[in-house]
Amino acid sequence: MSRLEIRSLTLENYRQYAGENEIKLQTEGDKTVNVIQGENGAGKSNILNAITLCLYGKESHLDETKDNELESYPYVNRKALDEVGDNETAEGRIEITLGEDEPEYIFSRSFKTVKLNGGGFSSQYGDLQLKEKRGGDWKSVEHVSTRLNQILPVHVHQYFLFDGERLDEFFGEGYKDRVKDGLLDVSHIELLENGIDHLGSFEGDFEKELSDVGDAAERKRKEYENAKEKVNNLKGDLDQTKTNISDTKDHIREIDDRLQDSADPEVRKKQQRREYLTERLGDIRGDIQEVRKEASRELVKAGTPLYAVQSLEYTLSELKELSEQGKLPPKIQDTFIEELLEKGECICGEDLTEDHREHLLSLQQEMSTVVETNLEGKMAIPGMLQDAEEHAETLIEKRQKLAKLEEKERQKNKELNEISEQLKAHDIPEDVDVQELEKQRTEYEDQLEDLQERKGKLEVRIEQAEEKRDDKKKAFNEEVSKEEKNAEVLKKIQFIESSRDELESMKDDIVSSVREEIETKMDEYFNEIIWKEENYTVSLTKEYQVRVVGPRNDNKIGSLSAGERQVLAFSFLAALTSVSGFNAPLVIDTPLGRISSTPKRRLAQNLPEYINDTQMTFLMTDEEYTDEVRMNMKPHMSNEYRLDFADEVTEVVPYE
Amino acid sequence: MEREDVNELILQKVNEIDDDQVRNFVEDVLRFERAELDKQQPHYKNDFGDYLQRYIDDWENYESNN
Repeated sequence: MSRLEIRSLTLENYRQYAGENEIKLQTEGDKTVNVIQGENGAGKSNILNAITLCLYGKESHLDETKDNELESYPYVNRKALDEVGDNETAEGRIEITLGEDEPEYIFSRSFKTVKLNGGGFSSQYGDLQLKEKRGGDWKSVEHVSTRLNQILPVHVHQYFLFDGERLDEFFGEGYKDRVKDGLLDVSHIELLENGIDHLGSFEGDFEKELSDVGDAAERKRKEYENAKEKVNNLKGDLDQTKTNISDTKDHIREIDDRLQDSADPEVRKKQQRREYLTERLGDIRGDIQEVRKEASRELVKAGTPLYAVQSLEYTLSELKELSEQGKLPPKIQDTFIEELLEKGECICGEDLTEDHREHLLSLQQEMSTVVETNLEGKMAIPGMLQDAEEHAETLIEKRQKLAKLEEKERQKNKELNEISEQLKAHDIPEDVDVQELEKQRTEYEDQLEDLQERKGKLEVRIEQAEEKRDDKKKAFNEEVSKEEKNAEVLKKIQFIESSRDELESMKDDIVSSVREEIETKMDEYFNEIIWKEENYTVSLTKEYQVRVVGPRNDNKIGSLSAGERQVLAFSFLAALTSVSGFNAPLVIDTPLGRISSTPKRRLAQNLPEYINDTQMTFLMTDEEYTDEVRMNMKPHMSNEYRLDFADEVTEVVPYE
Repeated sequence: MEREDVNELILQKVNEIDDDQVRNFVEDVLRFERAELDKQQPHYKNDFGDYLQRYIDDWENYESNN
């Protein structure tokens, strides 16, 4: 796959950029990096904003437009606005040329700002336009969003065009949902889900074509239809429950925000502590789940030898005793048979026949096996006992770890309950009604618990209903297949069903493969960048919990510094980008903001190598773009610019 | 970028499908879904019908009960 790049970005009268400013960003060979350096306020973040505004009609970084009061911070450059009168309009445009070999695309969006009476502004943007170059000709594309969606869908763009300074928030509260969304977004799971849904309805249309099937078949069709309806109803319930869960979580978050706004520092402190505890509690619960799984695995390994310990010990002591008594190996019996064979006569005096001889020889053979088994037993049993002891020790260790974690969970829960009780008893009159909010919060928490339980139950019921539906379907198909005329339609139905089954099994495999690949890459990137001497193991569980396990086997995620969390988020996003199905350019604002010097150097040096064959444009402050960082990036650099800001106008100049 | 850009991992899984006709059909369906990813209700039935016609005649794994 060749590299899809932003070849150039044109800003015309957009915010600090007066007149037309074309920034050439096309890279060459393995020099995949562009750097645009500028001091705060020079318009660095507005380069990222221009890209997202042009493509998605949304500015990513709104710090410079406080409280979303866009009318106070016009799209159009102030200098251009100075030249128009009250109630007059000034216009601007953003244009992005994207390309690999061919086709090339020019995305453009115009915008305008009206200068209002009294000094205010009102800004709005126009529709996204796209021209596509095929075979040397430029043609307008009608379904612009469809084409954009093929390049970088709106829900995926946040992993490619983002503000690095906000990355340390990525692993804050609710991060598992973000990790899950990221993983599902980049792995194209939506494609499989859409395909499965559409094939389901497509199949349904053919089922309706099965006609004149007779009473028996009609009865079975009815049963099948009812079973299908039940599944659909349950799925509807599940979707509604999920929406309710999400709404309830939003309500809790809203209350948390309001408590955080309390005038009383004690309330704010308690709320902060609760947020911290909730986050930790989530991690601890994730750890508990992991350790429980590990303990179960150990139990499976240790179970059989542990249950057999007494028998094994008894057998070993018997073997030893017999051996000490000279009964093992059973030489006497062996010698006795040999004597009989030699003598050719039984102890009763009868001569041995050929049959007798064969019988004695087989007994002798059997005897030697017994000897070997006894010897093996003596050798193998101590080993088995040793294994049992080791497995038991590991199991005890896991259980102790589990007990410690459960104790931590109890402590955190206790403290959370105490905070809640204290807030409910809070009676200092102020603008935020803490008592009432806390009461509502507890109600929402209870509601959330009920909803989550309902969700689990519905999932089980859906599974059962689906099994029943499939049985009914089979019965109906068997009945209608008795009619020759239905054969062709049934063949189609079976073909669609086989295809749908393939998509279903693919879905689980893909999620699991993507998760494993992201885990491997995250671990690699984090350890490469992080400045600690110790080695950390970064893992991503099936429940989307990220664990950063240190040398003492403890999960460090709760104690990472802001810079470390940023590195972790970077590692995750780099892993996502690398395994994603999207070949899109990366634009990162303030990529090294909170990162200290050693990892900053490592990141500058290694990032272009981690993310192969991807154009990377970094928007950096003077503090980030140090001589050392610049030197480390130099081998990968294609374009380097500086933003010169004066008199509310920024000029983009190539670096000297 | 072509409309065929489906995640490599998915394409690998598609390649592992033994049944030739089902594999080709699934691939066509996925490419269609990729191209229509942003549409709330894409009109898939005509396209799916064409794909089905393309492969159904040569499909031999049909378990007929007759």
